[in-house]
Amino acid sequence: MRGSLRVLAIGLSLAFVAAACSSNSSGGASESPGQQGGTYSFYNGEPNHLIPQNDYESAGTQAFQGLWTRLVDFDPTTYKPVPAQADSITQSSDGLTYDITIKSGWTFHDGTPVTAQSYVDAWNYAAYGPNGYILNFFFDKIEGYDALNPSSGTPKTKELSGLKVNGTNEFTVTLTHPFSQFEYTLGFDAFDPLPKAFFDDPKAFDEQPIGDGPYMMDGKWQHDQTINLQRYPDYAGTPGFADKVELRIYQGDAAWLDFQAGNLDITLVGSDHLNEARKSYSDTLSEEPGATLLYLNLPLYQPQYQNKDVRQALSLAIDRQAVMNAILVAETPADDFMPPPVTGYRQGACQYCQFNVDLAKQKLQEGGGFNGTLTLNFYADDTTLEQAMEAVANQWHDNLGITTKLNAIPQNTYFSGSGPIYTKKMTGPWWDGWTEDYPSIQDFLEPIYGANGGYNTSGYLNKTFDQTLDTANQQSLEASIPTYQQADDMILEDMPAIPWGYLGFNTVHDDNVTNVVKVPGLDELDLSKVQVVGASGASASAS
Amino acid sequence: MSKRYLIRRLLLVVPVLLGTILIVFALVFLTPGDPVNRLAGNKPLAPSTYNEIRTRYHLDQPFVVQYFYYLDGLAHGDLGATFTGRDVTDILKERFPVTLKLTLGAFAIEVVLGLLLAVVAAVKRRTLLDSAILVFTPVIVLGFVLQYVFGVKLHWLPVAGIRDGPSSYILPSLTLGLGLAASLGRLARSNVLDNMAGEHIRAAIARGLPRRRVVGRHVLKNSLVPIVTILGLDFAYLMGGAVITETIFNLPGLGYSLITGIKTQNGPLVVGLVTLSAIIFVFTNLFVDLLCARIDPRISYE
Repeated sequence: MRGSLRVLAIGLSLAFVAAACSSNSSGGASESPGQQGGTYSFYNGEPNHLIPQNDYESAGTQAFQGLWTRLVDFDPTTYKPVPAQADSITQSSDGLTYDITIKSGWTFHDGTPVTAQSYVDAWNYAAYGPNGYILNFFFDKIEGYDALNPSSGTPKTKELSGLKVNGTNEFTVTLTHPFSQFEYTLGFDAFDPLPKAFFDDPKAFDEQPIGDGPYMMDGKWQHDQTINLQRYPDYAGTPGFADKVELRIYQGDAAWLDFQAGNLDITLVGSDHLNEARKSYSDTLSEEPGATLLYLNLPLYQPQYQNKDVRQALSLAIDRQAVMNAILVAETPADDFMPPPVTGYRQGACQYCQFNVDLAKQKLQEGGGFNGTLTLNFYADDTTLEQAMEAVANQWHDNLGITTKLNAIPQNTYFSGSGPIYTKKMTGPWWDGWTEDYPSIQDFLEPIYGANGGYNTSGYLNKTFDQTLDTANQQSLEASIPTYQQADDMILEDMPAIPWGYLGFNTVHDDNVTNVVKVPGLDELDLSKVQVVGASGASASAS
Repeated sequence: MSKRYLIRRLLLVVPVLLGTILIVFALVFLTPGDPVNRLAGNKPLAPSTYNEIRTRYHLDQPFVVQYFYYLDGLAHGDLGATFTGRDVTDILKERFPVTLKLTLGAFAIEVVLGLLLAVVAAVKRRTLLDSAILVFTPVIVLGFVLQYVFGVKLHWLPVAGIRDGPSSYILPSLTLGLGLAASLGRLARSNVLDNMAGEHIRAAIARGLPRRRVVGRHVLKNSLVPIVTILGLDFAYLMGGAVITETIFNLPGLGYSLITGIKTQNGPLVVGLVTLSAIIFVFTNLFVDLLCARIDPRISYE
């Protein structure tokens, strides 16, 4: 969902990405594991807000990763939700009600207790339309949402009827319809708890938020400079290793230079510096597929793209790997409609994503050929992207004999509500991207190809597909995944879009730090796992 | 110079500002695109959220109404808020010192080096040094070179941010200052040359006055009016925020904010920054005019 912007941002400068450094053991890594202490710095962007319910981009969620502990985290191999701040989450047999018990004895950074009420208050506040909170729509599956967001006038109530506090550490959530992936969504920051201090003065809170995570703010947010964190001494979960973390805020190329100059410990690497990183920093470079699918969306409302054989042919005729080797270095070719760190992803599922010119020609013929000119659309002022799009257009021309045209659209209008995507005025395939909100296969299907999907911009409509999704939504989490995969199979055949690639979450770091790892299922660095080499080990008694 | 002149000049500030604001307002608010959508990665927000934010910042009103809302706020000393709810005044207060420090550093380099170069080049005309100052280096190239040499290779100076205190400003000040010094040097050089050809200078030299004294007291003083005028313009330009330099060096100053504001179509922020820059420009110009009248008594304002 926030996909578009993030992809755009990557094109503009640095990828908003980090990585699981598999087995780097440079310097003092041989010291006893769990040595606490030290300070390290990591690249970040400038968030819009530091209130979890009011921010929807990676710069914010990276900070929240340290400042809050979410209800659930994700399993490192299956990417299924596992309780984090939650103690247990139980779904009722009708699938409508979730009983959530949180771990007891947890406190916010101001010492006040984290209770069921802290969650319910936060959710109600964000769901209340007049507060204008960006993540408001995350609560639309909870009973009573409509009353807080009437189409006109002021809401008569400020509380979601679907939320009930049952005790200090327990509350229930009632949904309007069964939704098997609800537990996944709880891993998103919209569902973080807020302390009393927030409600007294949200604006002040935004400058120095108080969460319940392993790290607390070290002073105020210094806009466009840094967000300084320090270990929260009374954290009830697994404490972080470093004493302090500096999230340094950069714009443009400065982060890379600062890393090269030895002033920044960890940074992200996008297409513009990846080749250099592979050469100069190969010992600490970690490359891993992230949570973003990049794809060429198709205007199914245009006659040229209504035949699925033609769409299959277009996909088969592009050599993704060649373009990525030469231009979009930070990407890997897509082989399903969702990236690998997602529950339900199947390696090699997309048979039409292979590069096969003969089959492409055959499919194009079966589909009756391609009439007229193919216009390939992308956003302007990104030279790397432009080169890649030129290469794709050339391949279509050379491999299928299609006359192609490139169309660069100004960035301001590209994704805007009145722009060609949303108003369904695209003349041909367009460059698009989707970054998950939670690592479930469902998040890559329903919003983009479902009849009521928030980002169904291709105009894809398939009743069987919708019914399958519906069935999956009503099943248990466990049973739902194979059903979603059936739905995935339908679009793998129909090809309403051309999967292009997975944007890598790539990090490099200097000798000052070790154990630089990614959060499972999310494009975030795990701030509490990074260890500072040669840290004094002031709290080494823990090890 | 009369008080009346001063008052008239000050009164002129009002239409200049109103015009500037109107133009910038039009440029920012009539550009296609949707700043509210951008807050959520261009994804459609809940209708209630979308409408609430648009109403809060008067984005649902016609352009003219928005303009008057802004002027109304301005009359009460309120520069409005960004679409993420931060007061523009707070941002300006936070950014101004950064840009001021950068400006002072660059300006010092420009004045000292520029004038030195001009005089030396003029005196040692047609030498290698003379031609050297005619070479102009674009800011962006110079900035990257300085970063690479002194930051990445030698590790002498910081390359990004302001966390290292005064030393953070050395490379960016050089980047800006050297370029300006070169252009000032060229202008001043031809001025100094013109004056050197003056008969009173030849007379002074002929009478055996030390060369240093002739150049310093007579030549330079007579060349000061155009130099001061240029310096004033440069100062105002620098205070408007050196967009490229601040971006290259990740300095959170006014220029850096301007780029962010334009990228995110944050109207109130852009208008606030440009308004501030217009105010600085107008007052610097006024100061320069007054100063010129002091330097050269032939310049008088009725």
